[in-house]
Amino acid sequence: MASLQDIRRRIRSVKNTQQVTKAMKMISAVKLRKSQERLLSMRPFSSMLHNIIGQVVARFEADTEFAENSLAQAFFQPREEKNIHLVIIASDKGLCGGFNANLLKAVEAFFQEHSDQITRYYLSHTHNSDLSDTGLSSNKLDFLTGLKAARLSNSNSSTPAVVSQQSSSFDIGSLQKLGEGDIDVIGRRASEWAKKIGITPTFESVSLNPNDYKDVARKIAQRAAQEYSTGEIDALYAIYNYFTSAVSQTPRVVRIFPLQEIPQATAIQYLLEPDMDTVFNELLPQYIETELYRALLESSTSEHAARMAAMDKATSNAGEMIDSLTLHMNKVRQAAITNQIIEVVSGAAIS
Amino acid sequence: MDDSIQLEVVTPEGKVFSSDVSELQFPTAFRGYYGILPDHTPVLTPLGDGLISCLHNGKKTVLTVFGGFAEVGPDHVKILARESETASSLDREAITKKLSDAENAVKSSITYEDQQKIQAVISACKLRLHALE
Repeated sequence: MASLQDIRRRIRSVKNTQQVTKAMKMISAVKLRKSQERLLSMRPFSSMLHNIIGQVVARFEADTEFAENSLAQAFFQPREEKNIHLVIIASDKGLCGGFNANLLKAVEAFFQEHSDQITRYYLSHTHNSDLSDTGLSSNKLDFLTGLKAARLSNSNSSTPAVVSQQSSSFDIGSLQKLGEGDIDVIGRRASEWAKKIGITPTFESVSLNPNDYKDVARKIAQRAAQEYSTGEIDALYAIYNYFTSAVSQTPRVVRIFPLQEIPQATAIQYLLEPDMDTVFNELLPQYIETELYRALLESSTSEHAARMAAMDKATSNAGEMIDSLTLHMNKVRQAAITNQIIEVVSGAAIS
Repeated sequence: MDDSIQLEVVTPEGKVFSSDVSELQFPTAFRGYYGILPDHTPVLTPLGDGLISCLHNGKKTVLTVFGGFAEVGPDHVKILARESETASSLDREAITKKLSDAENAVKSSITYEDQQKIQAVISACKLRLHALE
């Protein structure tokens, strides 16, 4: 049985932990409020931009002359999604409940469905064995394809089940195709995940300050718009935690463009200055940037909310633990006192 | 009112400016400045970097703007700016300091990308200082 001293020490340490979680909860609450304000203040901008897009699209549809414009497809004519680009937004830090775990689960599900479209450079099964036949070192193979190369070489060499454990969520079919991926990762958790799976992201951003969200969004948006117009990618997806409320955040897969639904607007005969192509050219990156910016804000708001809930739970758990430890301590102390009294009494009885 | 335009300037961070004005100017991305008077024909155009100036009861107000879109209607102008601030919210000292920092940094920067970035900061600072004059 633990001594009184041990239990006291234990209670003290739990109390310290409780103080930390309480402080973290309060910090998260403040950050959540700030983040939520940002999210709210972006709404007018977002809805006005949607309105403008609605106008331009309505205008575009009325005007058959421009029907061949390829950029315009981004807004209302999705083309076949051969290559897609994915932006994963997770958090840098943990201690926020299932925030990252749920998100990455969604990402993995998405990958299983779309692995063909998402990676631009991959080695197929046959290529792989060709390469090993031509004497490419297994190191090189590992480098090229990460985990699944090792997994594949199981057949000819003997890299045992360690690898398959790590990659348990992937079937072998999808594993063959990883490598350099058409993904952007934001947040340390997402970047670690990509490393674990063996994908080299196109763009990576960790320890991002909320003030830099716009710059990052802009960077990704401009590149995506560029790649869309040259036909390198056919769609841009984002996976992030959507802020439903302070108690509920759900991972969401969103196709940022082509638009999932086109805002409807009655066409006013706007003059498009200088011309329609230019307007589209400007509107597309602006739109992507705004949507990504919103995704980043949603994600950070969700993160703070999730952390606040997790820390609240941790604080109350610590409280419960302290209560039961205190009870236990009192019992132990009482037992010791009773023991001593018995000793004294029986000692007196003998003499 | 027939002779006023409802001007709204909105950024992703929130509403920057909203008022009835009698005339205004804003910078477009490709064709210099646009001057707007009431009953203008509806126009949709991308914005460049520059200064928005508007007249309100004979008083001139200046705002900075960095990219975005403008939607002009007969009785309203909506400006969706990537970044925008009113001249009165600018802090001259902070900007001057940022400008001199950037001008020092441009000498020590090596890569082309860095230089471009710093140049953008410098021109933004200059534009803001211009807005204060």
